[in-house]
Amino acid sequence: MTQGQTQSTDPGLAARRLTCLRGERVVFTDLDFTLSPGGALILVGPNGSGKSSLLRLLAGLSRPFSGALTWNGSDIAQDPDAHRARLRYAGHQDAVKPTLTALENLSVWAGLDGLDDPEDRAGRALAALAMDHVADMPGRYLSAGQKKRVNLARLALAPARTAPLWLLDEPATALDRDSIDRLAALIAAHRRAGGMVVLSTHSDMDVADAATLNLADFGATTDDEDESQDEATGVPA
Amino acid sequence: MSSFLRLLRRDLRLALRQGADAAMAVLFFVLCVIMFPFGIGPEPAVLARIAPGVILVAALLASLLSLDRLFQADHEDGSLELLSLSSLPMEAVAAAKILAHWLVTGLPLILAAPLLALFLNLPADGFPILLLTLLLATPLLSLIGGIGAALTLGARRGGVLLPLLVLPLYIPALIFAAAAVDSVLTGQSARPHLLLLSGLLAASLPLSPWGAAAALRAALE
Repeated sequence: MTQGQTQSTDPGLAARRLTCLRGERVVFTDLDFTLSPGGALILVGPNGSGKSSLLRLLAGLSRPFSGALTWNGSDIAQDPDAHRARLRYAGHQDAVKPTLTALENLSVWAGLDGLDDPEDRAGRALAALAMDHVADMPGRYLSAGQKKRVNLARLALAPARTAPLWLLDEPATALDRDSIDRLAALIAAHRRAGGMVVLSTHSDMDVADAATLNLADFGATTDDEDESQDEATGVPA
Repeated sequence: MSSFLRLLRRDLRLALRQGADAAMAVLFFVLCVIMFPFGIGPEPAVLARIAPGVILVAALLASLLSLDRLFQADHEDGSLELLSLSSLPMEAVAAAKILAHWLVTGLPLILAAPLLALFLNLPADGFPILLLTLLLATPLLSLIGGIGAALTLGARRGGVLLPLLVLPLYIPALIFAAAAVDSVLTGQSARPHLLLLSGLLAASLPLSPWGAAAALRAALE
């Protein structure tokens, strides 16, 4: 499921021969995958292998050097607005304002996504990650894990048919065991409703029937001998 | 409520909760103008002569003070990335943030200006025209500054680079604004200067959010 056979009529997200450059260096090249509705793709690989770069490419935040990304067979670069509307991206930064409360932070994003009743939705989304008890607490008093949960609560704002594609960059970082389980439950519910998830992770997260993509397999060929940081050991491949 | 108004309301709320930022610009404006009588001496005729120019230059510097945070705070905490993925076009994001900057910084400067004009012994006929030129010039400062703030986003020492980039662009606004007040004080018509100032404002209203949006997209790549 992770490689080759990208038929243009397949529903969902597909990447064909993607190459990503950072500066002058090839991060990964000739990367292919397909992701169908209800599917999940876990990105693994050592530091610097391009997990975050791939997620940013999928979100349309940067462009691939070559190759194509398609949604239901059509190139996402053709209609970036439609692609933005169907995805939810959670990066390394939590985008939590220190002077706004957790609820205000979240309802701003609900409102900007054009959802109705942003405050109600934000309250329910916080409850989904067991954050309702700190809803009125300003962002500056929240711990790193709580900020992460406020950011991840954005995922629970809209139903899977509105925003089917979730792109999560190390969502389990800073989360306690219970919160990881709640996130896993959120992901499972999203996939049951036809949503798709691409996530990068270093730690174990229970995601059932997920395909795994090891970005180390798509690294530049051996002529870049000076890039020794890619050969870091100790990370499960 | 549209997404544009929601973003504007969010930025105003953030500015109000961190009230010090807005108060700082006004306080800087007042102190900056008060320095001049100390430096030049309390000669009423001289102060009246330099009053329009001093107030306009001080307003310009005060509006510059809070400009480097215009997009930076949202860039640092990842909000700008999320805004670029939201339903709002980047041009509207830039326009909302520039409008918020004017409401938080420019508008209080206009309100403080009559008091300072009084300090500097500006003749009574100069007051209405001074307020009118400030009403046209301060949005222009926020609009031009918005492009500069977006361009220097993520640049090393962007806070120093920003004034170097933006101050030369403020010169036309300063010339026409000061000339408008001066011409009323010397009994001439301020109309040509006000029209030119309005023309600058009309041109930068669509161009500035568009240019700032392009710079923001480049900063996010």
